[in-house]
Amino acid sequence: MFKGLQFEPLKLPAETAELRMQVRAFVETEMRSGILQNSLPNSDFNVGDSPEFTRKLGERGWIGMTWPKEYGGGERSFLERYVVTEELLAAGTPVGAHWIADRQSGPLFLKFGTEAQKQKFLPKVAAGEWFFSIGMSEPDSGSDLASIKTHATKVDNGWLLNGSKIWSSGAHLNHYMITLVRTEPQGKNRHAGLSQFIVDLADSNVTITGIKNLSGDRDFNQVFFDDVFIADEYVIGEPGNGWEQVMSELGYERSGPERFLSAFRVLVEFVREVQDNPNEAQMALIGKLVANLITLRRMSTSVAGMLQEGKSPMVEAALIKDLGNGYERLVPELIRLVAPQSLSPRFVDTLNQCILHAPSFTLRGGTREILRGVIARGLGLR
Amino acid sequence: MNEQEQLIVDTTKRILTDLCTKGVVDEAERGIWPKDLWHSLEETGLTRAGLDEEFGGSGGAQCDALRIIREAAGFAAPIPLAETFIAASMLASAGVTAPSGPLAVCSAEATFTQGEAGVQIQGKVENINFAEFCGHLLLVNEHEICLIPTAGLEFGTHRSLAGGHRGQVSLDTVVSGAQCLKLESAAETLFHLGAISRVNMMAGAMSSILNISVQFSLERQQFGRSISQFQAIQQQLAVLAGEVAACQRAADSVLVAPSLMDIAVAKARVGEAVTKVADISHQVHGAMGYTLEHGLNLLTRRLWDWRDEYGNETYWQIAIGQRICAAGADQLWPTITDAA
Repeated sequence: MFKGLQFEPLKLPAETAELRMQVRAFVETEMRSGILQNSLPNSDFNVGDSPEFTRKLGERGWIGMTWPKEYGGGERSFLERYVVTEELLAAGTPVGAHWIADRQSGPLFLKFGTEAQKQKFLPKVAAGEWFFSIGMSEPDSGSDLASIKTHATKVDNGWLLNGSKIWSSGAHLNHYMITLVRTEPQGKNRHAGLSQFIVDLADSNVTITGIKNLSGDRDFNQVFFDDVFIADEYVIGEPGNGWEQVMSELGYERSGPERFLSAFRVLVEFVREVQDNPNEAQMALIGKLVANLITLRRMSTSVAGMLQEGKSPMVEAALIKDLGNGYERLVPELIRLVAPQSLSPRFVDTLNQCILHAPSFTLRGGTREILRGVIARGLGLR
Repeated sequence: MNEQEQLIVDTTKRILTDLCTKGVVDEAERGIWPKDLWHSLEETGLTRAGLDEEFGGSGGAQCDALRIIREAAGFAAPIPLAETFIAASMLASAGVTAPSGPLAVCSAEATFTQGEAGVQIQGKVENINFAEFCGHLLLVNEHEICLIPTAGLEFGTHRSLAGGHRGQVSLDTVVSGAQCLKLESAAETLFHLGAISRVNMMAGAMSSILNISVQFSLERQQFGRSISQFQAIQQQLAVLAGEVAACQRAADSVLVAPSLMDIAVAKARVGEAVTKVADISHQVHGAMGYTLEHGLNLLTRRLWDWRDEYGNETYWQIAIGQRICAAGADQLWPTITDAA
């Protein structure tokens, strides 16, 4: 029975204010004279990889912030991580290299990994040195994840992996892929018999082929496994428990700021474009977009507070992702309608970059339709 | 919500469940004052929540009053709870205890001159909600308020979308028994409190709309199964839930000492949601929801009314946009993070 939705207001604790200022100062320096000085800021977490920038973040302790110190983490709160994350996105910094490892691979290791795995992988991730890819979708399995065909057979001390994964962002730049694999033939329970493996992307039996997205960026890959040997030590959690693990992984931060900030730089550059002489339509649109953004951020910090308390607000998180993705897709569409006739190249580039990447907003991390299904289940409809 | 607030909300809900039935709302729309409902709320102190005891209040904070107002709106309560709270709290700010009973409040393009026989009022007053049900009316101009008894005043009325009557009156007369008080920025205070109350009322109505829409979809059978089992319906209700959740959160941000930015964000965001909320809930309810007999219209008609009171979406969006543009592009993000 549906009992309503809870988004308790959350006030970010005082210690986050200083941290926020540190991040702002760091980014400003890098933009002015450092490694970001020639880049066009883009708030889409998936646009822009910079191993160098990632390493600098690692040095400052801004990757793996919430993890235990013994694994290279900072033992800081979830809300402190939230602040760092949103600052980096809002400023449009390139966070793609470590994004997946920081957001979901790390927490997956902490929850299901062996002691040896945690010691081996987490410190390198937190240092900004090792990057991870997601290996879930396959050419014939998208939203219907349980239908994957990539499979492994048991051999001495490990498994032999065959098949392929697709849409793996950055696999050509990353070190490892956490791969969902069928380790038992599919039976009546479609969710049984799946496992998660750590695949070394440098293995000679792994082939990585680039796929350009419609903007011309090479971001996606198809990754082929041809008798790749996976040692038993590289199985995450229990063999056969993959479905449960992958679902918990998908739940990490569907509610994070990357779900509504992707188009933020377009709004910033638009405000710069109209300067202090906007017409009424422009003011009204800026007001509408800001009112929506502030409200989304408030919902998102509410959920961050719940996560900090150890709750798992799946439905609330899905709601934020659906609302937030819808919002970030609308931003460039609405702004172009009220934009002045004469536009600066910087604004046009920012707008065009966003328009070209916008179709991915409502696909990645669970399509709009899948999310609405999750919400409908929360409403008691299915 | 803390325990105290929960208790207040639960009490309000109990009274409204019993005494604010569809029949009562329908009658009120035909001009019959729901006296049992008002009386019961008044007896429990809920009509004067959030006001100091010194000024005849039940104590507590403004957010208590707003929680009650939000809950009551979920029942389409046809009573001036918000108006009474606003009038009484403005009177308290001016150091005066409000008369008992329901109060109307309205901005007035009028001048007030206190004389010996009463207050000379000259000007025009429009869009007075619930005027015909209230013994007193608080007129508000820029820096003054004037409390007048309504007995003997002839209101011209027109019907609002919410089904109530909006009074209007032109005055050039001495009103005996009136009381005129100085109150700095009175008009602005009314406008802000009005917007805050409407945000909460819309959030309350939307919450009920989501509940009854989900319930209806589970009960309504078509093609041999409940319509809730169709993906087309599930997806629509998921969107509805998102809008309603956003509005609850927006309304929560104006409960305690809201800034002007908080008010602007909330009124703009919640007003914007009305289009989708009304659209989806009516679509899910089909033709039944379009009838006067079905309770859905009590809520959607009020949403259509409240979104325009005290500044519509465009009004508040422009207020936000103006401020953002004046501060410049590089201040945009700090403004957003400051609005915690």
